[in-house]
Amino acid sequence: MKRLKRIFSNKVFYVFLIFIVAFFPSAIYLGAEIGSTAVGVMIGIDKVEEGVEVSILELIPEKSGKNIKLSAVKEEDFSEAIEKLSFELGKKVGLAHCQAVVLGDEIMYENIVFILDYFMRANNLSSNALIINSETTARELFEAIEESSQDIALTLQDRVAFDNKYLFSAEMNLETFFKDYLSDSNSLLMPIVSIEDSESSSSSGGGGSDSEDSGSSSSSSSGESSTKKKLRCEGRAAIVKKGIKVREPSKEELDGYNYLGKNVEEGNIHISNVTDENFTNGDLDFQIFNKDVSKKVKFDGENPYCEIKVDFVLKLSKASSETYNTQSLDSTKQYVTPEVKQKIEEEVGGCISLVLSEIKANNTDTLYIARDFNRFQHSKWKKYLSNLENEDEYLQGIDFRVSLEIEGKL
Amino acid sequence: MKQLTMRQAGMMLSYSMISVKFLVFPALLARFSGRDSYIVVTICFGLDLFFIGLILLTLYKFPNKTLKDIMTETYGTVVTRICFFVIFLYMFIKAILVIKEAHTYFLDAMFRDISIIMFILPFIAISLYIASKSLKTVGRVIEFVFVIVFLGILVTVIIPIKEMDLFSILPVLENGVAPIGMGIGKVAFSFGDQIVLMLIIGKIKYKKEKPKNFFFYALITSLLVICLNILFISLFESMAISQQLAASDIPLNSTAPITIGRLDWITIILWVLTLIIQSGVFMFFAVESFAESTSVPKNISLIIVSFTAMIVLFIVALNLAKIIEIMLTPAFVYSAIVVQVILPIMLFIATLIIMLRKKKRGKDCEKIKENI
Repeated sequence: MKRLKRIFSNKVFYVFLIFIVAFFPSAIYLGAEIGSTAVGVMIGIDKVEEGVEVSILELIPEKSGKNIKLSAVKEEDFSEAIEKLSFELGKKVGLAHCQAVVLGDEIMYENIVFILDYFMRANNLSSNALIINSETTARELFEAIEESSQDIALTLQDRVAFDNKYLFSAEMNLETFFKDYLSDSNSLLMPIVSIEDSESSSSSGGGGSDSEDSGSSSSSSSGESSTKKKLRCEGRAAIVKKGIKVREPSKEELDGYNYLGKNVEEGNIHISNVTDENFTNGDLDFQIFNKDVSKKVKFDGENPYCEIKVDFVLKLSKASSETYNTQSLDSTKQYVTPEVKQKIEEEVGGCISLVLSEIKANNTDTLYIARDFNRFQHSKWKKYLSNLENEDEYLQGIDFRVSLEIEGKL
Repeated sequence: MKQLTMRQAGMMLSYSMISVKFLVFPALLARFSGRDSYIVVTICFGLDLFFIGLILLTLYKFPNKTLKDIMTETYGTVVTRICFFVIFLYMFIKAILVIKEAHTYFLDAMFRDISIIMFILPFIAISLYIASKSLKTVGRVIEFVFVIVFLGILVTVIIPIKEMDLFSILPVLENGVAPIGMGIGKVAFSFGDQIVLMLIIGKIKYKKEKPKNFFFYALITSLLVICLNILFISLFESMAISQQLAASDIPLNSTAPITIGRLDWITIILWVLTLIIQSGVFMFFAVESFAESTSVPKNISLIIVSFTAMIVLFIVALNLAKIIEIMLTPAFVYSAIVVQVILPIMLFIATLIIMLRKKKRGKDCEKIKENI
């Protein structure tokens, strides 16, 4: 009783009571937000005859059944399409949980900045949503996700964050896109995601079969095997300059980017036909145990040059040789002999040279050379640029000096 | 009456120094000074520390005199009341800004849409509840949450540290010193936290051997805010101006929380706590200053200030952009500078005058003694 009296004599209690009374009715009659907002986990944009097609993968938080639903609309203008999509879904398009903005390949050859600008201003898309280039169309990619492993739409960011250790260009979000686009270099690498058909066997006649669950796109023979669509993000990238896709680098070029990428901490180097004290005509795989990349931009008089130094610490991870002797199994050896070093230098150096020659040929500064010159050699760089006939071709006058340091690890 | 320990007073000063600088301030400053924002912050904090030094001199010489005592003794009642009214306006606007920023923070970090009424009513109620308490209670609350809040800020700074590119702040002074001057002028209102110290002098259990404690708190806070500014620019570079609130944008931008768990939620909760207390502290000083300037009892002042706050928030300041627009008008900028610079100087002059009078009185007494 005393305690009750104390509570009733407390002013805070009455303030609390007022709030409960004030908010209780409105809160109790509040509908579920999911009823008025479509939770988009991925949004895709494709170029079509009518203008643009906007597709959205909507998350439906239900215990059973399909959790992902694909909806798409075609309109002349992008923002109109988003509006139409809301009408079609009967809900507002909510992008706060959007994991990725997927751009179809065709639209990538137009200025995508005007599309992404919408997301920057709309302020309902998380700024760390990934920007991805679909190898085909965004819609096809979403269909594959909808049909097969549905949770990819929710785990894509985790996968890309993990891949980023291995692949130079994997992590590109809305914020980094605009940062790179507005930087002095104005070129960037955007990850390409593709779809691949993979065969999966299923037991005939059994309930809850794999094929039914994954919604196979085609069945070769009833109840035996089915074709399942799989998403692949394996390090392919598109080079985008001033918001427009320029080209796609080759496999060797991408390897070069991986060797030059500071974030890329892991990977493998394969060399073949190695003949040294340990192996004869050996095919060797070295694991990159540690890597350090340093880039320095300097001027030699009035001539700019860029010093790139890559230090590798390598560990032999696989070896096959014509003669397999006990020497090659010695765990106290580190196997980076002068012959191996030379082969690795040829392999790595070749890939890096390819990157450098391509960026010069296409004037696509994906290594942020201009940004670095502007930061560290500001006045000289401005002078250099002012002396050029075409400022956009600044890479032509830059001398690249690459040095490789290779060490073995026990 | 001595209500605050030195520790609490230092924490209160520190808390006020953080106040509006972690939200809209970094993006706003980036608009004027770009990647040189941190230079503006350093200069402004340098000035603040200088004025804090001047106020500490008063505290050192007259630890038992409040701002009202010193001002009345030197400039008379009318000038003192005008000064307190100016301080009331200053604190009131800061409180309104924090409440509005908190609303935007909620929108940015948590809700797609939140009714201004549903938000403002409880927020103002809590702020005014804090304002209705004594300085001692406010001091204790700040002491209680201080470590938690600082940890929150540290987490905000640490989460994205791996993604920052420190060299983004280069080249220094790319566009000369003009953007620095522009930045100092435009964001002056976000500084000037020495006013809080002015309001608590005479109410602190002052120990003469520990004046450096204040400097310690002020310096650590200044360094933290400078670091945050560098981090903000390093993370967003040219996109810094498109951000809304640094405290929510920094953790939300980082991809780290996705892989290490929802650490950003911890910062969000801590920031909500920080903002509630910040608005409460500013409201407290606004109510106190209003009571001093008008001689209206504190309870009635509280009602007047609360109604004014609601009218301002509901009618005038429905969006943050509008408030910022007002804050950037030359009249507002000059007024803020005048308050932040003139008032501490007035206090310093008053201190000198009282000291001289005291000295003169001492000499006169000696002369009288000699004559006797």
